[in-house]
Amino acid sequence: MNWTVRVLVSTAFTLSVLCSAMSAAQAHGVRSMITHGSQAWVAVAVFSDGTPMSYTRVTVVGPDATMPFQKGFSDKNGKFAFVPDRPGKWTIIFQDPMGHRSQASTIISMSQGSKEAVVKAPVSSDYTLLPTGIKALIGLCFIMLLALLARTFRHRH
Amino acid sequence: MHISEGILSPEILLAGAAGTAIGVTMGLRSLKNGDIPKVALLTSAFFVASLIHVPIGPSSSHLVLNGLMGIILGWEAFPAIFVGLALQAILFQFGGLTTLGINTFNMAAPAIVAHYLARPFLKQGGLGPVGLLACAVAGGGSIMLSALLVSLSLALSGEGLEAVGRLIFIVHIPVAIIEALIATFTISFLLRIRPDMIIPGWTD
Repeated sequence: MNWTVRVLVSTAFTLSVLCSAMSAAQAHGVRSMITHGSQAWVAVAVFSDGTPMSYTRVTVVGPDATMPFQKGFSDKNGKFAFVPDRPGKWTIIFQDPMGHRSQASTIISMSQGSKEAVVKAPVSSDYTLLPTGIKALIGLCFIMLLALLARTFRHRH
Repeated sequence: MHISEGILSPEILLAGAAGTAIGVTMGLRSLKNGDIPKVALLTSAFFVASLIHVPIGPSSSHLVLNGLMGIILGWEAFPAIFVGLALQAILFQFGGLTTLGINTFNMAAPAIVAHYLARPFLKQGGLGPVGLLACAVAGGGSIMLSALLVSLSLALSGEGLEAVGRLIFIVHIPVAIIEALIATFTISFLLRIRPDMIIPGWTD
């Protein structure tokens, strides 16, 4: 086995172990969720280790709207309160200049004669689709594939 | 330190994309066949390092390793960082695709500076104190230079982002210290076991 193949194989193995360990340890991803009180709805964003996304820029987009319904910053505990004025799908985006972004959507319906909102669909978050470890593994496989393709291509030319 | 989409002005985005296009072209032109495993290894390390969350005050950051990449890879660090950041943007939503150019430039340009800063001392000093000091300065300094470029990108885009830029610069001081140590130990280790990985043709 030549040096190139040994490096690629040992890299893939080491990083697979590392990334499996990381899926159980602290990761740099973020997630957010929406809950509701009697008047206002509260969106919360936390990093995957539970640390709140404090003082982060928040954008609330109402149903079928292109312009934001509300903009502001989360509080110390990563929470942001808003009062929806119509039923439909509401989206809340947490985003800071460091590059962390989390988006959650929920369907809100107004009960008769009341401003109280009721959850009709489970809260969704784009960070819960795949575990961080799996995403990391996909990325590492892609890098290895790219390296092998580059070597093959260069050998032919 | 990835800048998200919708924050920077189009002029800054275009300038960053142009700088990255030049850097990636230079990197691909200097890429040797035998260097591909080394580039893949460091691209993987760069990609994974972003997942290690380091809480700093009210915000958080992560290891970047651009200084280490620059010292070892030189101009090849540009395509390596580009691929790493593209995967981070697609898989983890760190940064974004429209900001890929400026984010790559902000991380890779200091890596090139680190390369030219550390390489002459490594050749002369080898494992000596001057070489190690040069690695530490290159490893830590590249983080601070990246933070400065990110701050400048934000400040030049207006919208009162100067304060955020100052915060980014301050919170990366601990990261710079950690990366200075990582660069020093890694280069020292590689010079002992695989010196030809650092300087081609140089064997122990």
